[in-house]
Amino acid sequence: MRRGDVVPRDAEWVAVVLERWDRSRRLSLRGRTPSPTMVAGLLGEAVTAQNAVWTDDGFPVALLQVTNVNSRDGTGELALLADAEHTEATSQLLADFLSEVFDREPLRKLCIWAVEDELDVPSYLGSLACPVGRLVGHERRGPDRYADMLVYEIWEEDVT
Amino acid sequence: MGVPLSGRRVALERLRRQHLPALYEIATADGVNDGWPLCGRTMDPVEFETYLWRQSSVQFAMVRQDSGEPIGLVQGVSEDLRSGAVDIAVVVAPRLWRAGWPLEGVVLFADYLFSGLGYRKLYFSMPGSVRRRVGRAVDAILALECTLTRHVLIDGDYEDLSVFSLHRDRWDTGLFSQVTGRIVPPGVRDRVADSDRA
Repeated sequence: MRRGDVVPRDAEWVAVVLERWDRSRRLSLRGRTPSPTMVAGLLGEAVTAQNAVWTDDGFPVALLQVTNVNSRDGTGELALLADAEHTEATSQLLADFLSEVFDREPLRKLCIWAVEDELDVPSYLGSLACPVGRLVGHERRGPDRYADMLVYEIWEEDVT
Repeated sequence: MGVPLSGRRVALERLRRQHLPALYEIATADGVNDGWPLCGRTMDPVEFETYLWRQSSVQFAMVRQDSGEPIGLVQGVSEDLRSGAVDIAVVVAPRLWRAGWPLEGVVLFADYLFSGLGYRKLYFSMPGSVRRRVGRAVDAILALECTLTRHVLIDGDYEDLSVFSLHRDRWDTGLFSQVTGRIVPPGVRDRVADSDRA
């Protein structure tokens, strides 16, 4: 497995997997149909760092992003879109990605937000992810049915 | 919309250009500029107007009932129509921080969002210094759902950012009346403030 820069043509596979793969809040379609503009926006707007992860034979298995950086507070959002078939390998490369980002950027911590039935954050981040909140009944799943949104923090000192 | 926009001492007026000079002074005041809505940014009054409109499509100036003077701003931000949730952002003139009565504007706005626009859940995010200023009322009325630790830089220190919520189910049990001390008789909710009708 390897990771590397995201290029414009990656928007093609991202659009296909957005609704199927494990995903954090930012990369969740939430019922929308992904237009080319929307996907381009997800890959370009407010993104400070991002990598794609591929298998050795060239199949994409994850998109890693650091977005919405607040340089005054030293915080940002970690966004993750990942094929659950490759969780273990992705998590190792994710840790490397985070280490690079914390080294390069003036960040103290990242937060990741995910609906509990869309992404199991600890399976990708292990003890790096500290749970700090649960937004109860946040995300609509149907008439009178809602899922919780979980919030985690990842601190620079735990990664580097 | 059928919900009252006037309280005992505070009224909500849909944000208009006439409110902006006073709100600009409030937003740029010492102790306020680092927080909402500017979050440390510097901008001139013209930019401020554009900035406010970009942030929210549901916002009101809070004004004094006796004089019409703007004392603050309430905004619904990060609206999530699918899940029926919205964040409430508030800024109040610093000289009124110790007075409890301006919070009546927040209560009116919450009722507008629940009863008027049909939102299901409201969020309130506040750093520790604001939470201490508001006092125990916050913990009594709202549910703490998330604490982002050492999250925001205020006066040289990193403060926790607490995220509270209020569900409509709780509001519909009569919380509005409990908080304001007013019983809202049938038919009053059909009355709309003159400023809203204009």
